[in-house]
Amino acid sequence: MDVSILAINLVNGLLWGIILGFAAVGLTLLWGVMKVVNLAQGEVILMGSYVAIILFTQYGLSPLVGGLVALLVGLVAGFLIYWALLHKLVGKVEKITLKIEMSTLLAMFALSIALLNFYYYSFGSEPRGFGLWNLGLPFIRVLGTTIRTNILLADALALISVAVVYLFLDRTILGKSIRAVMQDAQAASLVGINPVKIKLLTTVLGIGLTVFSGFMVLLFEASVTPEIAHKYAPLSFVVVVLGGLGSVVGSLVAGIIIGIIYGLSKVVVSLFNPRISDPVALSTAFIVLILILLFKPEGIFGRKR
Amino acid sequence: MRRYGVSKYVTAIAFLVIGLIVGAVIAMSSPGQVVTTTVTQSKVVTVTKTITPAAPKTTTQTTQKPTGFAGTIYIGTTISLKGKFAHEGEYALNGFKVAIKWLNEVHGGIKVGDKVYKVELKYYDDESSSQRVPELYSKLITEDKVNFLLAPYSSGLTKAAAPVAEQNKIVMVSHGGASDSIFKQGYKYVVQTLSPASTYLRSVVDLIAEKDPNAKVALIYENAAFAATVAQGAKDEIQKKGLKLVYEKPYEKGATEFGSIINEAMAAGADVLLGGGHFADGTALVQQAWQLGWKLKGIGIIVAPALAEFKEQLKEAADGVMYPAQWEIGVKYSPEAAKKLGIEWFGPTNEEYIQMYKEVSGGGTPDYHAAEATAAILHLAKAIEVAGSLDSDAVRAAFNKVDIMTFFGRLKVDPATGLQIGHQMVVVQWQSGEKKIVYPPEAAQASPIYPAENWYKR
Repeated sequence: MDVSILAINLVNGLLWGIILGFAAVGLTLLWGVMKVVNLAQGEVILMGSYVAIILFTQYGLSPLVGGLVALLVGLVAGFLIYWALLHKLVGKVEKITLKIEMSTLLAMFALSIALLNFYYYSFGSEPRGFGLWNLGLPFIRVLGTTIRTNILLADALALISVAVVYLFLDRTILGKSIRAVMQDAQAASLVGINPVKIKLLTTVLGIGLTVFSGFMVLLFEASVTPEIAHKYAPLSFVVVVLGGLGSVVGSLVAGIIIGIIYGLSKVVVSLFNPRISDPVALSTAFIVLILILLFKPEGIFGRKR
Repeated sequence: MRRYGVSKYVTAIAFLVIGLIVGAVIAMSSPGQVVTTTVTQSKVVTVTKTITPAAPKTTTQTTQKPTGFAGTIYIGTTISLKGKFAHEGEYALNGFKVAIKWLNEVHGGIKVGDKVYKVELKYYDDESSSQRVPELYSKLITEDKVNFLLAPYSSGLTKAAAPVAEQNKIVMVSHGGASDSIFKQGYKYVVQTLSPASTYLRSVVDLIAEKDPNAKVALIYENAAFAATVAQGAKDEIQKKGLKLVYEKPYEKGATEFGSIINEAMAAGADVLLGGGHFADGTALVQQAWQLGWKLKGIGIIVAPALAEFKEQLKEAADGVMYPAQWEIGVKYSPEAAKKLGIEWFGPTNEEYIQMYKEVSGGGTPDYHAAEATAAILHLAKAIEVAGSLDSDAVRAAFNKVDIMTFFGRLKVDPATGLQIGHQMVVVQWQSGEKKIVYPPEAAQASPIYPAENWYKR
């Protein structure tokens, strides 16, 4: 086996895995705290990509500004989604039953269809992106691999964001309240935590981060089509299950693991048949999902129930 | 409780908005399907709408030989005037009209033995649906009694029409079906006017082999039937010309990120990039090759670079990129070039063609879909004249003898399969933001830039 090819794929897998892990942070929060399975994950990610694209192509704003606006739009979207879709279903209830879970699942499913078709209607199926834009140099060479600086920018932003979210949940009162509701909503309300406030905050944070990750997905992929939603949504679920429900660090680690497994299996399968290496490598992620569900259903960083 | 009350309205409004969006989107996105269903239901009504445009008009306009025609040759086809090929269909229809006009008015009709026949086109709208095609072709043969057939646009629809032509033993000329597989079914009556998919990158490889016999080629293409056929054809030509293929990789449909693939190809030392698939992946591939600083002498990509959006998205990175085209405005095929090759010239010159197209279409400019369509009728007309008969078997045999040059290029079919072997794809290169035909020499309007300096010396 050619060592350089192995290095290239491992580095690329790692870089992609960080993005993947960050994209799943919002999902793991919503799922962990509110038992809301965000079936619109892929479409919410795309929201961030398209906000940045519109600002770049229509208004000529730097993608960096676009990324920031994407985050703000995401926070507002989280606010709207909570009041429009989730509050009535989960806001006032103390214990989230299976029935409620199914209702939120359907609500998010409806949102995913509405958003996806909205994207097709407004942006078409053509790829859109930042063209030849890059921050400073277009590429740098690391470990025998040439990497687009846009990818490094995306990874840096993702790592910083994960760190900020982790510190927020770990160190601030609000963050601790979120974790308290995640562990036991009833007990949390007994000690004076307003569950509605926490659920609203979680949705705003969860959707906001997911939309923000769309900006990084765009930087990584160079261009997006509405189809991308179908690539990132299933992988986000794998990452959440592997990392453990509600665990931000788990999400990042799981993303990196999936990315590296993907890169590695691509190299291995290529040795036998390059024509099928991509699809087989992608399916290994789901084989991992099955194995995790069978042998460690709580995930790497999840709590045993 | 107050908040609960407010949220009720917010919820209601949000659902209303979402409902409206969904409704609007459904209304916008489904007409294709709806139309298909209604059409299937009202089959009879739609089918009886036989339109024979241009032809009657042509007859009244033809004053030079009012009584000279011994009869009319009917050519039947379906055209995609609705559905996903509506755009291509419109060009094809105008292309047909130009050919009919030229044959009847300029050429003075098709000469069959000592008689002269007028040509008329009979067509139906296939609505870009392969389900409609067999039924419409049967109708053209059995009810409209057409003498010859032209295939519909696209390989998919051509595959649907071919069995009908074959069963009824009627010659069918393909103008928009590039797939090689059509001609591997053992059909005896189907012939091809355009270049098959397997030859798409052949001209690009030939050009590179002439300029740089030591080129190290990376072949990166979409893992789909069409692109894989193109890639196989390129591979054969690379071997034939003695170039080195240092890297080969098919990528998944819809791929946008090419980091590892490009890195692998760079590690393999490739300095020429060939491949592509559709617009999105082809553009992304070139974009990332540029952003990753890949020093390339030559780049040949199918499909994507032909579109203006390619240049809009890639700006200076588009320069130097080559793509193969069946035909392009500005090709220089001429009666003189035909003479040099020792073959006969048939049909209008390129200037005459563009002028006639403008007249027929009401000011339009032809693209390659139109040119293919025109060339198919010219090809058929020549075969009928060579055969001296309206019998399909005789005309099919005559196709094997036809070796002509037209405004579209050289036309000659493989006797056994009907596959086009005379026509050569032209190579177009983006040069300083403009498309220039650079190969083959008899069609070229500029010389190729190789190595592409903006890509290689950076």
